[in-house]
Amino acid sequence: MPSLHIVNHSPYTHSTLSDCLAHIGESDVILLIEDGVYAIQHALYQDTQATSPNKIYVLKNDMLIRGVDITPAINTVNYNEMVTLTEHFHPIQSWF
Amino acid sequence: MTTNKKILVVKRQPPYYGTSARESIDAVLVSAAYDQAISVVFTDDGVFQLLPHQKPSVGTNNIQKALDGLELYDITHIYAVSEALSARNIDPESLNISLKLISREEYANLLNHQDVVLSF
Repeated sequence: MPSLHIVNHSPYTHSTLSDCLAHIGESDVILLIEDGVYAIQHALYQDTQATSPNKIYVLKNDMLIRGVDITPAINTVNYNEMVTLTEHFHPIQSWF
Repeated sequence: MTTNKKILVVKRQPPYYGTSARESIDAVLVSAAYDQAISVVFTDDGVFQLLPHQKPSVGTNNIQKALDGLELYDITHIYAVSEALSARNIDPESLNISLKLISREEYANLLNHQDVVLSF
């Protein structure tokens, strides 16, 4: 089944998002949480969004906490929607 | 009756990064002892755990000895991601345990078929 990958570090200091993108399948999706939400201005996120606009989800809560701008193009999810993601993708791998 | 699950243990950290390497092997051995279908993958900096001739000081976890435990427990589904090895200039022939090389794409496929992933 397509899998869910959770990334919690910023791509500016950690290779986590880059490593994750390199290892995952076509139908897999990524959820950015905690410091991972800083990725939305980073080329890694933007390049992926350009080719696969439904691949990366971002936890809205963590964006609000960090003052990261929420724009319509970003696939934001609240906690309930995050749970729904975990129901549709399997297994779940955490990257840190 | 115990449920039999497909468990994947992913090792991405280098051997002396806290206790991650040691704890991941404990998780593998416990899963095997309870008859789970366990697979182990070394990738990213986790491949550094496979370097032969490591000489940790007394009191530091000896990863090599811990990895020998995998064979003792008949754990056969052990993989290393070849791109991670080549990026770090590690010769696959020199590794200290027997395992199967897989590409990143094969890793993605392996992952999709697991029930649980334990990341270390």
